[in-house]
Amino acid sequence: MSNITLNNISKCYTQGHPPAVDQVSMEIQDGAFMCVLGPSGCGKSTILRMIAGLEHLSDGEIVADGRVLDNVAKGLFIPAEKRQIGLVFQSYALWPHMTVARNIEFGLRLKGLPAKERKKLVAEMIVMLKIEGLEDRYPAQLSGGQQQRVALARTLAMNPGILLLDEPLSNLDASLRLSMRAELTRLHQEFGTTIVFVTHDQWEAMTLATQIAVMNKGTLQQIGTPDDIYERPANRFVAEFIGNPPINMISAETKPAQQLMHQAGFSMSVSEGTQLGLRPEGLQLSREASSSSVPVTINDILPTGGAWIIELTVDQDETSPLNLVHTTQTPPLWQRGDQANLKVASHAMHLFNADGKRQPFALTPKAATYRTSADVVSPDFSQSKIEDIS
Amino acid sequence: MTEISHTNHLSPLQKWRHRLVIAKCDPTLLIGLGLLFIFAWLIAAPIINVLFEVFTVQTGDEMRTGADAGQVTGYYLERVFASRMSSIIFWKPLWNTLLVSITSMLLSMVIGSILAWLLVRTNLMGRRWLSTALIIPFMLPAWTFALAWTTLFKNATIGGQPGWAEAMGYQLPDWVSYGAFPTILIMTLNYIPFVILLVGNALRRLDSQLEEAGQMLGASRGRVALSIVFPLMRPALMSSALLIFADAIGEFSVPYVLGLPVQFETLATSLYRAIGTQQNGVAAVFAGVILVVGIATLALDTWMMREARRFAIIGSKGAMERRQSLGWLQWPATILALVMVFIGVVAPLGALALSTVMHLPGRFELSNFTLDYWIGTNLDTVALRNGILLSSEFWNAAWSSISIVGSASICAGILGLLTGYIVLRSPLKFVSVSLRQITFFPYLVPGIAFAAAFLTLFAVPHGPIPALYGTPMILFLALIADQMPFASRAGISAMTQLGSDVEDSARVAGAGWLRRMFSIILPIQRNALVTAVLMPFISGIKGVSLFIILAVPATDVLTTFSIRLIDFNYTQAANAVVLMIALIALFGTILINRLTGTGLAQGLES
Ligand SMILES: Nc1ncnc2c1ncn2[C@@H]1O[C@H](COP(=O)(O)OP(=O)(O)OP(=O)(O)O)[C@@H](O)[C@H]1O
Ligand SMILES: [Mg+2]
Repeated sequence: MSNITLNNISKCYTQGHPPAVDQVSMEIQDGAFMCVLGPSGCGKSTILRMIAGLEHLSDGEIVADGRVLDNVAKGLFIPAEKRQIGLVFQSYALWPHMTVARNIEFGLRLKGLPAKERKKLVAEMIVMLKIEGLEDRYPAQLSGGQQQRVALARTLAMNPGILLLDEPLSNLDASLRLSMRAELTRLHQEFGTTIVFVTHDQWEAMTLATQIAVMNKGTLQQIGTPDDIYERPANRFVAEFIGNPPINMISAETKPAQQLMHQAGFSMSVSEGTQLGLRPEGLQLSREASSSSVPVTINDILPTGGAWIIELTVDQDETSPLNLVHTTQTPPLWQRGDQANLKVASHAMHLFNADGKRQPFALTPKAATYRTSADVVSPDFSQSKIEDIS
Repeated sequence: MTEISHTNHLSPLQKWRHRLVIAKCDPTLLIGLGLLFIFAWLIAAPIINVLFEVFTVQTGDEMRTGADAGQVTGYYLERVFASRMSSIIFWKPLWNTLLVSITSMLLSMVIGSILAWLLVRTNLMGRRWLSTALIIPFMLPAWTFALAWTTLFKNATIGGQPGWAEAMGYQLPDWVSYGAFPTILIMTLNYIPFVILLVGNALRRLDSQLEEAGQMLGASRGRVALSIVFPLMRPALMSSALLIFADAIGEFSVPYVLGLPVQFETLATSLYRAIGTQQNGVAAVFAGVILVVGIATLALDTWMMREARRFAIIGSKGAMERRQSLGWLQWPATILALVMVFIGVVAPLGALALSTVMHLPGRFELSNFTLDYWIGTNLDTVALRNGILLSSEFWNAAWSSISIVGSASICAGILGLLTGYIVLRSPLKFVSVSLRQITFFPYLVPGIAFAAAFLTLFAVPHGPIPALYGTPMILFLALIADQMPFASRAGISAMTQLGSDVEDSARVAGAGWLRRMFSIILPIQRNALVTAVLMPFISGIKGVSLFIILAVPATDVLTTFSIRLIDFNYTQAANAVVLMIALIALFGTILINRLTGTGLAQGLES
């Protein structure tokens, strides 16, 4: 029901230190489910707190639905209590001296709703978030998952146009996470609320988001759909941060790299310092050697339950060994120590120049044949993403 | 890219305007500045003022100094430090003060550490019961014990009722009855629980695995104690010692009660006497000396604690609690602890209680027992012709005590919690730092010096503030200032534990500042608030120093009332009043323990 625009926002907690958030701009569309993703300490929570009004900007502007929430240059600021934005804290921050029902009711009371309406809303929320029977308990008497749902109920009861969630699933166990994730998707669809969701779990981001913003050290690295982020990482950081196990990164100037680019139909002339990224699931091993494949030795095979991680070493006569990781969902026919021949699907290859920026491949004329023959195992999360979001 | 480089398209004016707009939405900063102002007036101003008084000619001293009142003079310094009178009025009391402080500090450290070790680290019999019993003296006013001593061991040098020993026919020399010896003894008894608490806590955090590791390597027990335990405990030991020393140099009530008959003066009693004889300049010098020594000692302590943190192996999380078997030492150790309970608790309280129900001291005949001093009427005394429970003076004093100390404690508690709030939430760092420091400052200043400082500032009108001497107001303000260290510590630690998320979530829900205070912060901090009120209340009720200087007969409180009774030799009545004070203090402490489930040790340490 609302859109938010961040215009070049920065936050510097301590003068002289590098800023926690550095000139970040993004447009969060009405009804979007935006995930802010990044390593610990990259400024994710800070962005949420600035949108909520709990921190003020050091520079830039935040606008929601045409209303300026914070603008340093013009000297405008609306405090958190007047923004009507919902925020669920990483720590839940339930009020320990109030029962569950009172926790949910508190904000409604402040809104000045009459008692009858409050009761009705509270009851609705309790049913919706499946916390029936806990109304009269105190937060200390609830499990982590229950607390989390109370925190959500408390925020949703206010029917905010914008819902900010700070790693709300990080304290839950795996199965609870799964069901809460489904719950969030359902809520998003049911209410059409604009959601900004902070996480450092890429899997969570990939499965939930319509848009992902990847952050590092306070700066925005890339913003786009989960597909964009995975298939077309804007830079080396994004490519390395997304994907599990992480992308193989090798110097594009080495002989094996040149050979792999050649077999994928790409031109092999690269500038100095260029890196070639190879998604582990895009690697293909076969017994038959061809002129374009790269000979490798299987180092180790690690089963991870339904999938396998295969560690390879490229057979080459240079001094430092070149190790690669490959994942597959078909049971491998290899033994440790086997010799094999490596090819890589073209869409699993990414090129980054010396500055880490994504660099398009130049195609060699015969490229088209390779591009269509994609018998590659697709990454597991892009599958589940399709189920969850559509 | 740093802030400096990319925000410099903003002018300073724009940044300040933005800050101002934000500050307008949140009264935290304003309240912080308000608190700073209050404490500057209540805490900093009196202390700075008393230091100025040292160099200022006082009204009435124009003749002696040959200068007009208000002019700068070195007269008082010279008189105290370098005149013919110096050795009597300053050097002797200074020597007595140091003698009493250092000796009682050392004695209480030795005995207290042994007891702490027995309670925390060994399988001493009945240690649970003993650890409570041994702490009791801590909850009682120090001069309870001084009175108990005179009740038992007063000799015939001064008039009035003799002590029990004398009454039973033992002639006691003066040095047993009065002066340095009993003062040291009583102060030692008073500080032992303090050592047990502090050293006991440190021992508890000391990982016993470190000790065991030493023993495994074949070191003897004595060796382990000397080379492992002692070095690790040194910071805690040093810190306790300095805290005790700083407190002891300002101790007034014990030397006052026990030193008076033999002209045994300390700095604190000299200060009192100087004020009593209108020598305000000299009093200011005494106050200044006590102040400087107190501050220096505690600065040393702070500095050493900082040093100690560098090798903080103590307090590893998985510290194991394992007790050593005492073996054949079990009996002697148990007896030692029991003797300490007897000397520190049973004997003094028993003697005091018994003395209030006996006509003549030390005579245990049925006919000698009476409840007259509690509930009698028409007694054959000059004043106070009713038992104290039936006398209006007692109830008036009790009411003043409770109302003045109570209202001051409530204010101190609220200010303490607010201070805690601001210290943690202030957007300006200097506000939190200076609030934290200024509220802790009175802790460095012995009560008697602080009272003297208060007197010099508030006895005369300043601007819109009228002269407050003789009004309950001056007591009220002095109590608040004096109790701020406890109250603000309680507030800061409570607010630290609360964290800011709980308040932030109320903000997001739409709650303004006042609403957050009253619906979220205060209800959650209810227990902390009660502690922040009760702690000052207990220490205010049993305190003497502030009242002896600032109270006048019109604002009689329990402590000054009982001291007056002592001065008039109404021993039984005085003892009865002191017992009542002890009772209030005891119950208050028990209440705090019940409420917080922790006890005083933490409050002292944090
Ligand atoms: N109140 C504060 N004062 C000073 N520095 C802060 C403050 N809050 C955060 N920071 C710093 O700002 C940076 C970004 O912090 P932030 O909490 O936004 O990270 P995050 O991305 O949410 O990390 P995490 O995933 O661990 O929650 C960190 O370096 C942090 O140390
Ligand atoms: Mg965070």
